[in-house]
Amino acid sequence: MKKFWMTLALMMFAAPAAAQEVLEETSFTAAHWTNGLHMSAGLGMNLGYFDTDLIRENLGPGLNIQTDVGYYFGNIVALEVAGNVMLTRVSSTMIWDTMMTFGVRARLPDWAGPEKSAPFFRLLGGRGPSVFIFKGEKPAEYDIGEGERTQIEGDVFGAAYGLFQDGREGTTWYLQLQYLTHIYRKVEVIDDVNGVPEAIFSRRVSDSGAMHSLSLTFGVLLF
Amino acid sequence: MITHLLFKRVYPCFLLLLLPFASLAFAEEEFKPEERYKHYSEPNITTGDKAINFGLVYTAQWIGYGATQYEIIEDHGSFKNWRENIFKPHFDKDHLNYNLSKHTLVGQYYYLFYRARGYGKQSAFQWSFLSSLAFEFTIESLTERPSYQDMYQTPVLGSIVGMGAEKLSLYLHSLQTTPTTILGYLFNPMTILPRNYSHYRIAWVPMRNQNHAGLGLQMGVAL
Repeated sequence: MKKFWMTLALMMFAAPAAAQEVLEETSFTAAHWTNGLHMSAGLGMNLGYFDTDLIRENLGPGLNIQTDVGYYFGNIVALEVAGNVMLTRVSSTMIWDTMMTFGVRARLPDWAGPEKSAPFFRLLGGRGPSVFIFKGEKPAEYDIGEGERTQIEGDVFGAAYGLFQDGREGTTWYLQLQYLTHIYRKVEVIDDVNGVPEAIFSRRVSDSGAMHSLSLTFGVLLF
Repeated sequence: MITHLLFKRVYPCFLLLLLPFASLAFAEEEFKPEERYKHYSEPNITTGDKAINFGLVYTAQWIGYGATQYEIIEDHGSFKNWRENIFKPHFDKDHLNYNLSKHTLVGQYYYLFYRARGYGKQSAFQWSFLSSLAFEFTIESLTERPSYQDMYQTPVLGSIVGMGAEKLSLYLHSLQTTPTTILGYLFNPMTILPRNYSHYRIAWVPMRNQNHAGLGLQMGVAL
């Protein structure tokens, strides 16, 4: 975990640094989305609700790391690949949710957002795993095997509303509210054997268990 | 052992200690623009240079993988895996430390390498992505299936951290003192590389004596 927090700290310092030079390579602004590849990254917080046969529980607030790589065209739309990592702690369990999605981002009319901003709407769909990392004794409701962690993989669907706004020196920032639902399909109990993770138990999920999450992310366009 | 300890304990702690100084790098009023060091991007990198740069990263990937995963390759590696795994990408079961920390740090070095060779931010990211794909599909597939998380997170999170490390390193170099220059090299070791547009040249030279054959590294200046 120490390595993770260090990586995260580096990322937090990195984003504003990188953002200062966006205009060096692109002339992207909130009002004018330039054609081509753009990447953005942000941090935020999330709230969730875990709804399965085993657990029904509110989660969060937790940390949210959002990254988007998209191809923008026509100053109105972008096709994107996005990664949304959510980290939430529930008692002695760390829930690490990775949702990788394809999606479309479309510009909304100016009246749909505050002044001097460019509001947008996103639709997302994809897949990803939720990993439960246990410290100490496992909570009874999470305990489905003797492994070091439990990984539940499933489909992801969601939507987001947000806005771009220009900052100083050519930077473009965004604020985004996103809803994602993670519908679970497969549960695996993982053990590290000689440094290699192996599933020691696996079954399909048949109860349409899901995690619903709401995240608020503040981020910046990196190029 | 010394190297192991250095990288596992001392080097990360050292970087963490320095993080507060990172904010100085982003304080615009500290420097007049002409006094700040800037990254220089080469607008026309030849196809040959691109192939060489990609090849260098690819060679380093094989060496790094062979050196750090020797036991796992012995236990789990096979050409059958190598052939078949490339058609079976999946969501891996690795621990958070691998997926979010180690892969990010490796991705950072891909990005910094390409930047040091004169690539712009976008193309450095694109080539990091290609290098990451090459690793997943032609190297790591020897022992495991390609991972969706790694394909996305290694170049994306790596580039974000790389942007910050580059900025901080340039700032430290620009202070023009021996300690800060050393720190500049630590945060971005690729700044020590001769650029493909500089007048420095490096070459590998076959060497042989009575008992050994090997490659020597030759450095020179174009006159």
